[in-house]
Amino acid sequence: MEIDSSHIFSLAEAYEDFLSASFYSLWSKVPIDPLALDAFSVIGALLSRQVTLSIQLARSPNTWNGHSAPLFLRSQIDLHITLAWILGELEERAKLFIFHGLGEEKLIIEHFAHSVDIHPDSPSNDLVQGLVEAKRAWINSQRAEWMVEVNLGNWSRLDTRKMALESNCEGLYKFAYKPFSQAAHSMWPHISLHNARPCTNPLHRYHLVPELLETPLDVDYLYRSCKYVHRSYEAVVKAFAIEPVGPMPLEWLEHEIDKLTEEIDTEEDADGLIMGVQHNAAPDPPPE
Amino acid sequence: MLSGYRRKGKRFIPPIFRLPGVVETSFREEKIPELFWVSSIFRQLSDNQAIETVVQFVKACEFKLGKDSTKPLVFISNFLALSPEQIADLTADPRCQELFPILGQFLRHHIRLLEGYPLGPLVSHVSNTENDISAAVEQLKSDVGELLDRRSHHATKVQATALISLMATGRMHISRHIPVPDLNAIFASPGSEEAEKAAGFVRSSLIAGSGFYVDGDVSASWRKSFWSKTYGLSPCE
Repeated sequence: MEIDSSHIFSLAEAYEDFLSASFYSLWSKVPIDPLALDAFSVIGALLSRQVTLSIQLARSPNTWNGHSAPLFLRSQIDLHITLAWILGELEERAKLFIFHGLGEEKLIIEHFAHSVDIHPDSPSNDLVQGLVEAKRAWINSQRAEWMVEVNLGNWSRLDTRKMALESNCEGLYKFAYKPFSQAAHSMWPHISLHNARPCTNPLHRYHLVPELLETPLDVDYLYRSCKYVHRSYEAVVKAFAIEPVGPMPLEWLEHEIDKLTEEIDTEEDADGLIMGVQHNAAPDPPPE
Repeated sequence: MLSGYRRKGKRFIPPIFRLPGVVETSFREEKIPELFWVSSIFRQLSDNQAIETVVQFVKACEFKLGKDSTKPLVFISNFLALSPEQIADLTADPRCQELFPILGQFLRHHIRLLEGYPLGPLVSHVSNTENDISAAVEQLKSDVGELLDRRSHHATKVQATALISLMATGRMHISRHIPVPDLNAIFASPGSEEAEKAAGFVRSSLIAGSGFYVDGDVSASWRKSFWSKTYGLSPCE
């Protein structure tokens, strides 16, 4: 039996259903502290975002390749490090996170207001004004705008590496965040391999010529996305000493992949689709 | 991790740059335009004939001009620094004249393709340049392509010949305290341990004096002209 796209779509749909159900199930177990609702708002929204990113990736198998998947994965890793670091000192760090976000919006408002001031006749001023009012309302619903500090530095006062170190995510930072950041920021190690090929004319000294390269669909990217959801779930489970109902994401996915691979002949060349867990996007970090 | 590196703010500097006077050079960018003519000779003649031809030609030219009035002529851009009188002297010299036909024959694709080719004033009159331009480009590709990996056997032979010519013209003296590996091993037993040692010696010796062997401005101008011209000869592949 050959792998075809229906297997991929079936797996992705089942994954989405699983993640959605497991997210609500897990969150229902989190003991919300009524005296620290802001902190739990942050944690819950971060966890939701983690699951959402993974669902969005799962829904788009065409993005399971070296061009697109790292954009999701880097964001998921960043999110996990943020989540894990905040969970270390929940209330204090969640407050930093919120205040920094308010300050960023305050600064954006100032930029818009300034643009209206210097271009008073711009036809888009009404739209801009509306946007500014909406943003002001969002800020004021949480904190009086005039009390909002603007911080141009990192929200946590630390860079991501230090946050990762403090939250036991050093391996994730070194072996996943950094390589996927190269894709997210379109740095040389990524673009020289994914967006160019060497010219073989010796008189051109093997320079690179831009190329629109196709890369194969690789289920490993879904596996990785699932792994980061798994780690975020684990962080929440550990922080609040809760017992998840049902399998954790990686256990579920590995079981599903095993089930699928039993049904198919893995010896067959299946139109470039790679099934199974390949681990070829970046090496797995050592255990932490 | 990063053993030997020195931290400077957020940068980690490799140990090599702690040595005084270290200057970065690129064999590919800087030496290929100087030595591709030797590469061409090696492609078309046996090793012995190629060494003989190159070394005899360089020796004859430098003997005629006096080695103090020119930089080592195995590096081809140095011909561009010669005065018209010096070129005339070489053109009229019987020892040089003996070698012009063979150079004209084996370097004719250079003459055909490269405007301002440094050996042009000496050998173009004895060269049949009516060869097919696309064949000439293919030949030039081979001359250059064989040098792109400076550790390849062909590139090592070319560099060894440049070093031999420096020794033969008295421009390079190796102290008797320095053990010199047998350069013949490069030609006679490629891949052997002795050949590897000799190849390393050749590369390091050429790098060590690379700044002294050419006129900086003339060489830079030739490199620029060479790479600009060769880039335009054929499309990307």
